[in-house]
Formats: sequence, structure tokens, C-alpha cells
Amino acid sequence: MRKPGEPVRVSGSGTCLPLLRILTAGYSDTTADFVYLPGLHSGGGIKGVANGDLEIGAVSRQLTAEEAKLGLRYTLLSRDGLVIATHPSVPIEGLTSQQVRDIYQGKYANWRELGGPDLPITILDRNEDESAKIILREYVLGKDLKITPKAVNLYYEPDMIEGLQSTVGAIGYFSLGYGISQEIPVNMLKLDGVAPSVAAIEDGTYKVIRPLGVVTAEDAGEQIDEFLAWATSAKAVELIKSRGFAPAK
Amino acid sequence: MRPFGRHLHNQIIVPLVVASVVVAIVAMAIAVALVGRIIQSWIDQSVEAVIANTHSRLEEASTDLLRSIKMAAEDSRLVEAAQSRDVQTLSGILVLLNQSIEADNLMLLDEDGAVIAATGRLQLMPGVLPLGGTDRDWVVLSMSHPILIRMGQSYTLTALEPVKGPDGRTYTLALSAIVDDEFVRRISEGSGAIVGVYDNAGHSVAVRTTNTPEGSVAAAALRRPDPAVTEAFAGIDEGTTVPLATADGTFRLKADRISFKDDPTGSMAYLVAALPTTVAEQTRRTTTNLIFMWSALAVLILLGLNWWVARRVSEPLVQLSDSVGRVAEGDFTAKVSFHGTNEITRLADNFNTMTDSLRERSESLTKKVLELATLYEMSRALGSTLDLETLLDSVLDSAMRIFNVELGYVTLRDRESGQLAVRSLRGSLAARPDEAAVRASMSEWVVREGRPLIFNPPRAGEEPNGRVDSVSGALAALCVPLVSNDGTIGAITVGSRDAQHRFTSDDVRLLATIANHVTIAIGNIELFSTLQDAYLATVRALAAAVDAKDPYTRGHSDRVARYAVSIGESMALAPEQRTALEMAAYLHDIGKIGISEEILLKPGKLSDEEMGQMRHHPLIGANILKPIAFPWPIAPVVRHHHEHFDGRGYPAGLKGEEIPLLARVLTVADAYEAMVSDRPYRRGRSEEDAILELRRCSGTHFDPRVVDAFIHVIAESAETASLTVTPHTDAPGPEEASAVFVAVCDGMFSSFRRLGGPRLAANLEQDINATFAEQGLPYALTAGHLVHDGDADVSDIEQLEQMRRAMAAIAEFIERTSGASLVSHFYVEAVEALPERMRRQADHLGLLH
Repeated sequence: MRKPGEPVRVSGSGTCLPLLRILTAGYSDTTADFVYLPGLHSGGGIKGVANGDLEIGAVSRQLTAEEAKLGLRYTLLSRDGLVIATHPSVPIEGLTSQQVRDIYQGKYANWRELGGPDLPITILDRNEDESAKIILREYVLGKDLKITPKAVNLYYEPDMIEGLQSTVGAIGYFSLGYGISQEIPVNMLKLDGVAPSVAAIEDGTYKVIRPLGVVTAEDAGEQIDEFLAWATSAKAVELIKSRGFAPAK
Repeated sequence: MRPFGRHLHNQIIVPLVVASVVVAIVAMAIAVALVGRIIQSWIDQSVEAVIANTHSRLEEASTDLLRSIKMAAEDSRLVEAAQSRDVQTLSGILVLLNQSIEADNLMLLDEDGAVIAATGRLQLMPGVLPLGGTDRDWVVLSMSHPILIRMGQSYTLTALEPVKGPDGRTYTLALSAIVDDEFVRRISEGSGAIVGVYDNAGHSVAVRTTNTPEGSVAAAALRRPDPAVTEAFAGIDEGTTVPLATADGTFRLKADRISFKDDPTGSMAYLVAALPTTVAEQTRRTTTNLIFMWSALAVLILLGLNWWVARRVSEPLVQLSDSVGRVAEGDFTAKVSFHGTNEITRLADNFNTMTDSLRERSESLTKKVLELATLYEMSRALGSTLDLETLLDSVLDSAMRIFNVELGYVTLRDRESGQLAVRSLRGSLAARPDEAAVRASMSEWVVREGRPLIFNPPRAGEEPNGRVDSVSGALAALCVPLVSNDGTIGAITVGSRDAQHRFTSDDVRLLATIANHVTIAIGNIELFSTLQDAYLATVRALAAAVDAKDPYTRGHSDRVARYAVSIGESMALAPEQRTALEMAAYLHDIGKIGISEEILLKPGKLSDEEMGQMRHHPLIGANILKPIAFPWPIAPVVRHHHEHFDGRGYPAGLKGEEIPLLARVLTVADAYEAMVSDRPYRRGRSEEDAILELRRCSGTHFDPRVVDAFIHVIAESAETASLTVTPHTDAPGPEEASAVFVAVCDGMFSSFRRLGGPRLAANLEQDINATFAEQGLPYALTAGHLVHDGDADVSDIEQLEQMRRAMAAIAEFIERTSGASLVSHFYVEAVEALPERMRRQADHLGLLH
């Protein structure tokens, strides 16, 4: 257990950590010292808090039934949109969910077939247990869609973003909040004609969203309770909205 | 004040100061130049080190690149994908591979050099030819080293590796690191230098700057690039370093080529490193300042040290010089003293020893000169007197002065009795030592043994011997015999009551010398006395011859001589004058030998002619005596013994003082004797008549002073005669007592005047008269004589009391001016000068207690 005065250890979902960084940076209480450990994915964050190795575990998906039994406190901070994007060399406006499914099924080899430039389609994908992939399957791909072997699985979201930026003709998906807040130079696509934005998430028109939250121990202590109270306050909501993250309803 | 440069002190300091300043300046100049060169070479070496370091880092980056591409090329997924020639798969694999390699760019080229798939910052489209056209046949080669090549807008360090494609084709995998500012930063990390990379045309590719303002300025200059950079390129082969001056500071630039071995493209680039000289400049300035400061300090310290050393050397010399100056002026007490033990101290010691020895020599010389002077004076005194007592007194005075003592006496053996007697005594309290004291004295022993004798008082700590000379009372005494040809005739003794006084053998030698002189002088006096006696006998014989011719006047010359001598004594004539007078008296009528016996023996009155002849006798006598070389002028006395005081005498008719004094005396004595003695033709007159006649003719026939003296003598002799007959047991009458008192006082006064001189005597007279008046004593002093002017009706006892008080007053005055010892001395002298009867009366009266 953490003793008062010791730093607040934070880790977990790579998708959620940028949001937490925005929040801790905006937090005015300077007595709390937040330390970010390397990303562990959502499950790792939950396990870390359960083991007492972390104070705050970042989670970018809903807790599983087993995880809910651990008796941890879950706080929803934001709803992040999952945006599908291409390398800027593919200046198409948007794709339908079907087109996305077809691309990941390997039905298209060249963007020319989709009305884009004559460039081979480089398919960037995530592992199945990644929250982003889970959400994408839930809202776009569908549960049983077989992904083409031409796609490459990238382990971390930053790898995905890096690959999207540096590979001509690439397509992939990542956090909208991160994309907006870091101004990633990629071509964000409309999905089924809906452009990904905080407003679209808030009004419910953009459906592909994942819940960004934290788990903490039930008796995490006053300092963490205060931080969570602030993180869910109106002021914090304004802050995360301005950075591309949609508030938690 | 001597000029500045003439002081030894300054002569030492100035050259040393000049030398140390020159040395300091030269040392500073060398040190500053050396520091400048060292610092410049230090910077140049640092720049070189930066270049070398950067080279090696670049090499490392190349190696890394090569390793990465080999790893990627062997990746099984890539090899598989290459065989399938599926662009989508290849592209995905490249993305995946680059995730792990993290290179700037990774791409796969086909046989024509066109891009099949690519990922990375170069953003290359498929189909482009990033390495150039198909002529680049080296593209497919496996290269041992990356190459520097421009791809699109970027300058890259690119490694190539062949990958097997489908249908036996060979693709090329290209892994690039973009040479940008970040890359340069990485390869020149930690050097503190500004590093620039230039392509083969000399255009700036990337520059790494430092986070300092001057770094940015230099980086800007490197990017431009500055002409200095071009200059540095030109100096690569010479390995020169060129300066770069900017508004914010100066830098040193060095350029080098970047080229790789076995590079088929022969690609080349340039590397330039710039180091700010600010720190070096500061170091140089600080070091220079420090050198200046230390040099100044060293010069100052040296100056102080020089000053101190110079003082150490010159001050003793100044002191020594002063002291030598003082010695040269005759001050032998000059001393120098320094602390320590060095040559100067030894010099000072030697100097002190020298002055001591000089002083001793000078003192002993002074003593010798004094001795010689005194001896000379003494020998003059010895020759100038024939009176023994005077001689001995003067010798003793001189001897006492030489030895610096206060006591001295001479004893002489009496020829007849053989007894020793003190003949002269100076400084002793006892006026006359008795015979026993003389017998017990050291001179008795010395005379007996004929050897000198010293006795010195015991030194401090020694057993007191209690020896005191019985005659003088001296504690230290030296006695030497007076040895003549006949043997030891006496001894001379000097002594001191000072218990510290010491006589030495030198003193014995000196006193022996004095004794020799004295012995000779005594011999002379004795010889003279013998001669005088012989003369006297001769003269008496001549006088007897005259007497024989005139039996009526037999004994006349003897009697005249007796009278004349007594007058001479009364008038206090000098001894030799008295002797001359006596001789003249014996011989005054010798001229009568030339007068015929008829006239001479004619009874009754002589005729004029006879008288005329008779009057020739003084001249005849003078002529007879003239050829005889008497030691005294006798002939004139004889010639003029018939002159009258008023000028009516014969033969020359001399008058008053023109007549020799002795002749005047002789005239009175002759006349008186003629008057009182019987002649065949008449009876002699009585003494009273004769005296009356003398008085009558005083001033006409006779000199009044002589007459007075003679009358005094006659009166005295009459008293003596009466005293002789009357027994001396009875007390003197009042008149007699008064006369004795007056005579004693007169004697004391005359002694006092002799010693103290007329001025002191006059003072004494005044003071005593005042005291007499004060005490109501009936006495007064006038011209050295005591006059009794009181009335006679005082009793004998009162008169005696008055006399004793008066004497006490006189004694007190003399004691006050001359000391107690002299009072008794004067008294004894005065009493001794009295005739026998009066002396006894004086003793009887007991005037002085």
C-alpha cells in the first residue's frame, strides 16, 4: 500500500494514459506526485491496482465479469472515439462500415479500387485482445470477421500511429482524443458519413467509442479520492473536451 | 648627506631590484606567450578530439545501421513476403520491422531501384527511384558499409542489403538514417562543440548547436556557411585550425572529410567542428593575471628581502664606520655590538679587541708621557735648587703625582749618627713621626737591605694582613733605596691609604729611576756644601790674614760676619744671599792689605791724605777678590760697603737702592761692630749708644730697613741672653705672652700666604678681622701682622683667654679654607721658627688645642 507522501503510480491502457496525463497536468493540487509507469494495457492496469503495485490503473474498456469481482472502484472519465484513418497519401473522405470490413477481409489491394490513388493498401491492425480491436469488432467489423493475413498486428497504439504516419497507403485505427490532442498528421475518415468528433460522440451520432476510466482501490486514500472527484468535475470535463476527448455523459 | 647611489645599502638594493624586475618581466613575457600557445594548442587539440570523436560515433551509427539491416534482411517474414511479391504484405512487414529497428526509413527496392514498399520519414511513393536510375548497378550489391546519399530532400546515411525476390530476382532493402540536426547531435554528443555536416558540394546539411547564445551564433555561421568554413575545408589536408570571429565570441574551426572505405559510390561529406575560445580566453586572461600578480608579489617580496639583507650588511658597516671615525678622533671607548655569529660579528669582535688594545696602549703611552714630563720637570727642579729640603719636597710632589697617590716621604741616614731620619714628608697626618716609627718603617728595611720593597693591601677575599706603613700610615706602599757610590744613603717611599691601590713592578722601576735622580741631586748638594765649606775656610783664612795685619781690629771680620748673617736672617734673605753676605763680611776689609801699616796702625786721627788712602781699601779689596771666581757676587759688596744711603759714601757715591743690598747690610754691621768694639785709642761705646747712633744715621748713612732689622736682631739677642740667664720655668709676663702670641700668629699667616697666595690671605684677613670685632677681641690684622690694640687693664687670665679664642678663630678659618691638617702644620711651623725661649713660652701657653 502506498503511504502518504509517496508518488501516485499510474499505468495501464496506452489509450487511456494520454487522457490521464491531460488530467494530472491540469490538476492544481501540487502535493500529489503522479508517476507514469510503462503501459500495461487495460488488464495489466487492473491487475496492478489489485496487487497494490499501482494506485491508478488506466482502463480503456469495460471490466470483465472476473475483473469486476476484484472489488475495485471504477471511475469513468471519458468516452474516446475510435477513429479509422489513412496515410495522408490516401485523401479519401470516408468509408462505410462495409468498406472497412472489406479492406480488413483483404478484398481490396489498391486504393484505386475504392476511388483513391493508385497505391497498395497497407493494412495495419491490432491484436484481438486490444480494447481498440474489441471496440472495432463490436461496432464495425463484427465478431466473426476473418482478418486478411496481409494485415500486420501492431502491439501498441503508438506503433499504429507511427505506422500510419510513415507508410504510404496505410490504413489503421486509433484513439480520436489522442489524434486530436497530438494533432497527428493522418487522414481521419468519416465512418458511414459521420466525421469523428467530440460533438458527434456527445450527440451519439458517432458510435465507435470506448469508455476511458480508471480503477482504484476502494480505500485508495483521500488524495486519490480528491483527484478522482476533480477529474469528474465540470472543469475537468471542459479540459478533456478541448483536447478531443468526449466527456463521460 | 651622500648622494643616493653612494650608499652601500642602495648599491646592493638597486642592482638586485633591477635584476629581479627584469627577470620578472622576462619570465612574465615567456609565461604569457607560453600560456597563449598552450591554450591555443589545447583548443586545437580539443577540436581535433571532437572531430575524432564524431568520426567514431558516426562509425558506430554506421555499424548499428549495418547490423540492423542485416537483421531485417534475414527476417523470415520479409524473405517470405519478398518471394510472394505481395506489395501489401511487404509493406505491412516493413512497418512491423521498422517498429523494432526504429530507423528513420526502411524500404524495399526492386532490381531497377524503384520503391516496392517503404515506411519511414522519407514518405516515398512506390515506383520512385530514390537512389537514382538503373545505372546504379551497385544498388544490388551487399555493401560492407553504409553510404552517404541524398534521397529526395534529405541527406541520409543509408545501408543497403540484397533480399531474394521471386523468380530469381534480387531486391534491395535500404535502411536509412536521415542526417539531420538531431543525427549530428547524437554523433557529437557531449563534446561542447558546434558540429556541422556538409555534403560533397560544401552545402550545409545539418548543424548541431549548443544551448548557449554564442553557440547559436556559431551554428548560424556554420549553416550559412561562413567563409571561415570554406577556409577550414581548404585546410583539411594541412590539418589547420582556423579562427571564426562572431559578434558573440571567437571560435576555432577544424574541418575533416567523411568518407568510408570500400564505398562504391565514393560518396563524401565534410565534418566541421567549432569550439568557443571564450573559456580558453578567460583561462588565458586569468592565468596571465595570476602570473602578473605573482610576479609583482615576487618582486615586492624580493624588494623587501633585498632591503632587509642590505640593511643587515650595511647597518653594521655604518656602525663600524662611525666607530672607526670615533677611534680616529681619539675616542677609544667606541664599541660596536651585533647579535649573531657571522663574519660581521667577528669583525665587530675584532674591532672591539682592537680598540681595547688601542685604548690600553694609548693609556699606557699617556702614562709614559706623563711620567716623562714629570721626570723632566723633576730633573729641572733637581738642577734648580741646592736646598735639600726644597729638593726632596719637590721630588716627592712629582712622584706622588706620577703614581697618583697622596702619601710620600724621604728618609736619609745621618752621616754622623748613622740613624735614619725623615727629611721630607708629604700628606701624612702626623707632622713629625718619632724615631720609633721611623725604625719600624719599611724604609729602615729597605735601607738595610738595599732592595726595593712593595706592599699592597690584600685583595677582596684575601686574609687581611694588617700591614700599615708606620711613618705615613699607608695601606699600599712602595719604597726604593737611594743608592749612591758610598752605599745606601736613604730611601724614598710613596703610598696610598686607598685599599684598592696596587703597586706594580713597573712602579718599582719608575721610582728607582726617580731615586737615582734624587741620589745624584743629593750628591750634588753635598758636593756643593763641601765646596762652600772649603770656600768659607779659605775666606776665613784670608780674613785671618787681614786681622793679623791689624791686631787692634782682631776678630772684627768674624763679628761683622755674625751680625751681617743675623741681619740677613732677620730680613729673610735667600740662603745663597746669606752665604754671600757672610763671605763678603769676612773679606770686606781685605783691601786693607794694600794700606801701609803706618796709616793702618796710626793711633789717633788720620790726616786727609791718610784718610784718602784709607778710603781706597774697598776698591783694593774688590780688585783682590775680582780674579777669584766665587759662586756669589762678593766683590761688589766689598767694593761698596762704605757707600752711604744718601749717596755721600765712597768709593762710587752710590745712593739708596743703587747700592747692592748686601753692601747696605754689611755697612750697618761694620759700623755697629766698629762702634761697640774697643780700640787701642778709645773704648767701645755701649750697645744702646750704638743703637742710638744707628737710628740717628738711619736714612742718611744707613738703609732704614736694614737698621730696623738689625735693631730687631739686637733686641732678640738681648732677650735670648736674658732668657738664657733666667730659668725658663717661670710663666711669661703679659707682654711676653702677647709677643709670643703675635709672633705665632704672624708665622701662621705667613705660612698661609705662602701656600694660599696674597688674595686668599687678604680674604682671610678680612674675615678674621670681622670675627675679632664680632667677638670683641682686642686684635686686628694689618698687612699680615697681628696688632694688639686693646687696653692693658685686663687680667693675665683674661688676656690668655682672649688669645686662645683669637687663635681658635684663626685656626677655624684656616681649617675651613685649607683643611685641618694644615692648621697644626702651620702652628708647628710658626712655633719652630721662634727663638728657643719663646718656643717654650708658646708651649707653656698652650694656644692651640
